[in-house]
Amino acid sequence: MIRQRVSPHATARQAASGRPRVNRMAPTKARRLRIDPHIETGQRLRREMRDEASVAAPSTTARSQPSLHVAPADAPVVLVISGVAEAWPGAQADLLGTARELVPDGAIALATLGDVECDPESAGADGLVTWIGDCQSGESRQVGALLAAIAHYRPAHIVLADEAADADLLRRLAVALEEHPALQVTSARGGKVTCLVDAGTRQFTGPAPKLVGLRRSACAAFEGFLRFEARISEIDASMPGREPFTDEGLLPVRSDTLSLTEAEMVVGAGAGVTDYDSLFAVADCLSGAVAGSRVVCDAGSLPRARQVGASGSIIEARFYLAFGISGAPQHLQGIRACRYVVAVNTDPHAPIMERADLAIVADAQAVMRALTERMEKVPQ
Amino acid sequence: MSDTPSFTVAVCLSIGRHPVSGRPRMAPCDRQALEMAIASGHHVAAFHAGPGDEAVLRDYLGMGVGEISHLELGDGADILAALTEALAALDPALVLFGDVAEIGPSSGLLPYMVAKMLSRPILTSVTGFELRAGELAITQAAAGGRRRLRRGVPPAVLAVSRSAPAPRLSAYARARTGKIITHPATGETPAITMPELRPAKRQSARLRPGRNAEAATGRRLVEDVTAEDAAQEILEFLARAGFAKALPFADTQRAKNGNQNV
Ligand SMILES: Cc1cc2nc3c(=O)[nH]c(=O)nc-3n(C[C@H](O)[C@H](O)[C@H](O)COP(=O)(O)OP(=O)(O)OC[C@H]3O[C@@H](n4cnc5c(N)ncnc54)[C@H](O)[C@@H]3O)c2cc1C
Repeated sequence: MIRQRVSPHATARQAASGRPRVNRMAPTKARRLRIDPHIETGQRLRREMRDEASVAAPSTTARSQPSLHVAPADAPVVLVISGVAEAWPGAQADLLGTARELVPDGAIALATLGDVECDPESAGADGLVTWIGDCQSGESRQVGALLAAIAHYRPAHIVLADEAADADLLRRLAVALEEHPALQVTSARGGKVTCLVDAGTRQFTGPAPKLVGLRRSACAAFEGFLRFEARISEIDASMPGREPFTDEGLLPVRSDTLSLTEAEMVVGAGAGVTDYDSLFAVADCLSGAVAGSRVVCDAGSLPRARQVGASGSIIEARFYLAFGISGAPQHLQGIRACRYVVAVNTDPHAPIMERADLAIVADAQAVMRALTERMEKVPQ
Repeated sequence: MSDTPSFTVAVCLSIGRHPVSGRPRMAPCDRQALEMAIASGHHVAAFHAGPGDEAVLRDYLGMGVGEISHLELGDGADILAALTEALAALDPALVLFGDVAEIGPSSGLLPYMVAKMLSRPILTSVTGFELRAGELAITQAAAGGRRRLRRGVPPAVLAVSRSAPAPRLSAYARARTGKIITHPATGETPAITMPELRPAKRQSARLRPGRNAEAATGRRLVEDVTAEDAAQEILEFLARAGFAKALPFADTQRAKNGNQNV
């Protein structure tokens, strides 16, 4: 049986064909997530580079179909591996592009334990793995499936992200293959890699070994105007054996114990918040961590450990919801790394409203209550 | 206190290096591993393999472990063989490591290699464990600060995450009375010697020309809305920005609006 992760929206035809589900929404989403609306200069630079590209390519070719790239049969294979979830949004495309830079004349194949989150034909996959059997549940099974794919392709290099859960997968493969990997790689091109050592304080450059673990900063997706074959290889991932550790699932999140520095979503309260029950309710609905401005922590409404800012925690949450926070410079320092900021404040001229991607002029209490009400009415 | 028989939990401690001053110190992750071992209430056996640094080892002793076995090796020698030999002789229920070391390759590969040499399963990103009556419950750090529960049986190797509980402080009195027991060990210098090291360059994400074409979410100021509409705006925004929890709320509402408009 061919294992398919078919989304409920997939058409019957997709489900019947042998192709793995390709999340066609993903590349757009990934691209979208990466722009920073606050970096104006970056955008201008990108625009210039884009203009340059369009000047270089005559407009006739730009409008025609991309030509098909077929890797020669004897080309060295580079196998790009991605775990159950992408290490970062767009990681699969980024790894494919970087694999091509590492071995420009190589044949690049993608084996992912989760969904295919890029368009393999434009991202640069000459080959693509579909699994027969369960390749996902448990570390041993995942490693077993990948070893089968490695045995099939006999790649010259195996490329993974050295980030998130893929870092674990990479080390398990290294030990299983008895290969010394290049880890924390910050640059990979033309057969050479640069690795960070001594906790990132020093680096060295050398020839790429078989296993290469890339940091996100080393990666860039393929930008050329080509179409790749993405030829399917079916790999049998079904194997006997027992997982040493069972997975009992994620533990319920409590907004008051969730770590501020790790959370994806942080809900912050300032002096404009009076209804703390609603604040915690909102945070619980969003599985977020609760934080406060200094004023709030000074007043004892939240513990000191929950203070965000220059004299509190510097957070890196992807989402920050600021209720009744004025956005003093000391507070903004703490949320500099936050990707998306939503502010609810009665004062449209509060500095936080400048920093926010979505600024709503309204009473924090009322909006918090409406949010909870809205989210508790679970629409299936 | 506990009526269940106590197990032995081994902890492998390394010498860290302060990232700014460069001075040797306890490696933060190893401190957390030691904290976890001490807090578990089981018998703790602490190991250090390498040239050693008396002051740092004493700091570890100050956290409340009675003695540390120091497997003395030359600088740059391969600690894997010495460590596995000592661990195999002790045969502890659990072996704990910190997730990453601060000196050397900092690759976090050592726990995996030790696990393989001892033929034990390994779990990483561990934030806590409970070992009772031969059953092992482990919490593991997951994305977004969440925790995953895993179950298994000893023996096992665990690598402790930076997200594990903060370690206790080191007490001077205990640091002085604790014992460092030195065992001369034989370790070969590893075959792979590191090439010439240079100071690391600052990393910045690579520019991606031509991509990022469409703007996702411009900055937006919303005024004069009801609280309900404001809440909906927020959920729609979060859904567009890729926050999974907001997706169902945004979609249904859009569908509803659509129906109303028709
Ligand atoms: C050395 C130093 C270090 C500091 N470090 C920090 C730090 O680490 N973290 C930190 O946060 N601060 C820090 N501060 C304090 C900082 O300067 C500000 O005083 C503080 O951040 C303001 O907190 P706030 O926004 O909660 O309160 P305020 O500035 O009082 O703002 C309250 C906001 O709530 C709005 N509001 C009122 N009622 C409502 C309502 N019903 N609905 C919606 N909005 C409403 C108001 O319009 C206002 O914008 C530091 C200051 C100094 C001098």
